[in-house]
Amino acid sequence: MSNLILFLKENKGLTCFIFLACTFLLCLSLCLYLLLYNGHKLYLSTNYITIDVIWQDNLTPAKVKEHTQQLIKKYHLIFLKNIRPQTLKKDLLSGITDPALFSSLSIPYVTVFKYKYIPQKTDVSNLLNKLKSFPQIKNIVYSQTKASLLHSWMRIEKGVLYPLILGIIGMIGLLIFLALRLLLLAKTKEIEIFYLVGASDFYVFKPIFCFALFILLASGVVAYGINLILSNYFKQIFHWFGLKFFVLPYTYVLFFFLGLSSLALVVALTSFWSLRNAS
Amino acid sequence: MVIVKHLSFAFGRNWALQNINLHIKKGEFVFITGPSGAGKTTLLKLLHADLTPKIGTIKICGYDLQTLPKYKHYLLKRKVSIVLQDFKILPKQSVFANVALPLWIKGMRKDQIQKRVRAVLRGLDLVHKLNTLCEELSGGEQQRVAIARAMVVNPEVLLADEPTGNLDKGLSLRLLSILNHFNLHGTTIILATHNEELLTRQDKAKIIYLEKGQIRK
Repeated sequence: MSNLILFLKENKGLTCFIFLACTFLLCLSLCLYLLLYNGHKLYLSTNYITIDVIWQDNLTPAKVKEHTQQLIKKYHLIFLKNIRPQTLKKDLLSGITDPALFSSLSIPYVTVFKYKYIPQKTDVSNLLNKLKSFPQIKNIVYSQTKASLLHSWMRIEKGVLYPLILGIIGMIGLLIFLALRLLLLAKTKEIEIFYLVGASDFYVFKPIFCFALFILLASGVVAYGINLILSNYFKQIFHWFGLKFFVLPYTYVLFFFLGLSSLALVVALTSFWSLRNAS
Repeated sequence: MVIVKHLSFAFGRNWALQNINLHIKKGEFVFITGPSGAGKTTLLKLLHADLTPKIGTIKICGYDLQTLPKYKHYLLKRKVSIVLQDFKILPKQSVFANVALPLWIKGMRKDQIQKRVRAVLRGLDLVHKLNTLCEELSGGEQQRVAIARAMVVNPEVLLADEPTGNLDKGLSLRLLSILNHFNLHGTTIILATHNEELLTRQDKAKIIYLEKGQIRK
């Protein structure tokens, strides 16, 4: 402990700079992760597409029932409801003063299905094409925007947010690695003397690891605190859009700090071994 | 205690030591002498595992340096102390901090460290400079700090490279008597020196004369 305090005291300027830089970067990565987490939650809650199947005009209710069962079995669709032509006609005619307008119009049966959208496993457009080619189906109606939004979210999540967070963590690691290298280079003579009088590798490594761990955990705690404050503002913004906001669960926070400790170990080991091999 | 067989070492293409064979028993006092560039410092650094031999074997304090992995060198260095020509002390630290360093590394208790450091510094006439920064000391005093640091751990083998190089005659003789005292308590002393007076004052010492990297007599 006294070694660490001495180490921090001797390098006040660099310690402050690294601490502030790590706090900023960790705060940024936590905010991004919070966005990712909420986006994923939203994605999970809305990853169903509603498909309205419009049957051919001549189909009887019994036939509709039979084909519905067939579709459920074949394409793993979830049945929601059937809309009878009379109901549909009633809805269409509501507010229309001249009922003669629709008197000659034949309105078919409509069945509403729910379909679970799993981007890696299912191809929505393929399914929709198959449904369209089904002879008893006249047409299908589905939300194209929703399907493309869900698909885009997965692309943003995998292609942008995850690499960005990993990149920031990599930057933090690199920053601490370079700071440690700088400190170790400044202390080469001292370390040489330590080895000369019988210091083990662990004795030299200990303050390096403690420094990295202290910086990362301290900046992690501050970043998490800032993130909690910012969460309140995020909550309001989400509410404006009518969305529910989720804060990061404690298991994630624990994982975050464990990750930081592991990063400290990896960075300290890397900088220590690069020094050891150079000497 | 120290067995060296067919030891050769080169810096690049220049052979600093060639076919050195040594057998030093426990408690012996050995002088390594010879002209500048004869390989005295290189031999001491090889014995302290600061350099790796190209050819030959070194066995010291029960450790075979050929098979001892680098991460275990500290075990050897806790038994074999070295005093180098350039002292290798921490200039920004006090005399006490420098001398106590190997004991701190060993994890000794604070009161024991105080006691030992004071005893060694008293013997080297440095106790009044206990809290002085090393950069404020003269060359001779700095050398004595390096000697005190090497002696404070009661090493099995003490390697000293020109320990009297910066000392006046009186202090040199005093240092020799201190080394003798340690030698009488079982510490093997291997001392590289130019100082011919020291050689004559130590009757029972073994003298190894190095010239152009080879033992002449």
